[in-house]
Amino acid sequence: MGSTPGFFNSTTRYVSWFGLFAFLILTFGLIWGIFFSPPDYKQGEVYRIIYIHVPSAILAESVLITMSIFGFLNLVWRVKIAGMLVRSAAPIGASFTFLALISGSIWGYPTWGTWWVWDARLTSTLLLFFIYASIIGLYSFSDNQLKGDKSISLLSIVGIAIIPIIKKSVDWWQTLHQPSTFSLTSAPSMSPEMYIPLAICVIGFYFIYIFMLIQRLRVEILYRERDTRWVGLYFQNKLEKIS
Amino acid sequence: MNLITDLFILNGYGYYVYSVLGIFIIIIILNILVPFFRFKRLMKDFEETKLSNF
Repeated sequence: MGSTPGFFNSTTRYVSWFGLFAFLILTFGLIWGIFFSPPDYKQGEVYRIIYIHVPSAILAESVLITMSIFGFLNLVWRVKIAGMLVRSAAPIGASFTFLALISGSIWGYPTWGTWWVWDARLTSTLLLFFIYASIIGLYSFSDNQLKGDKSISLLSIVGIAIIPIIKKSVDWWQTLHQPSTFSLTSAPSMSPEMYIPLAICVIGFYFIYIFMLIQRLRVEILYRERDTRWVGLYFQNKLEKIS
Repeated sequence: MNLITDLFILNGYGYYVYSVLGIFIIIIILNILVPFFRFKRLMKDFEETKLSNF
């Protein structure tokens, strides 16, 4: 994991498989959820936004957890690739958080009668988006890559404090937002016809996250090691194949 | 015909569901295209500046 050429070469073989699996799983899960699962007894058809909203909200949190773990590896053991991973994951986390916020807002209008409320869950998720924006801003304005990696690793570790707040916000405060859809301690309250496609979509989102992360990380490795011999050979081979 | 209409109009809520689906697809495509174009730019830079010295 520590060697960048090693990681780059090993991921060349299987990165496309992650993309293909993500596409197949997501297509299957979304078609099942949007077109073939039964309507909700209270919300009718509009609840189908859940098949994008919930997986994106789960990913929004998972990405920051990944970043803080790799940020820790970067700070404590100075694993070079871990810093690159934190940097590559931040825009993906910001995208999923934005998607969770916007899909929640679009869902909120027909169900709550408003696009936005300063509810604990919504506000804490907005804070999560600002954390991602700060991480992206911090490395964009950083002149020294290694120092930039350290700063964003530290911010990821500190930022993880928002995760339990988001998770518990619906229990600690009175909110318009419904309680968590997924729980490790209790059985799902939804029927299996609704729950199974949702679980499939969550798996598909994880696959697309891994695919996008590997893609970004590979390009980041090439960018940082562009002056090394192995990257030169890689580009030369690519150019020979094209011509 | 009715089944198809029911499937796509979603009882009048299709606008909401499909807008979210559309935003999701745009976000995924952007996240795939950004590293792709960065890679293309890197390769172009290599072709222009380093190939002669390599």
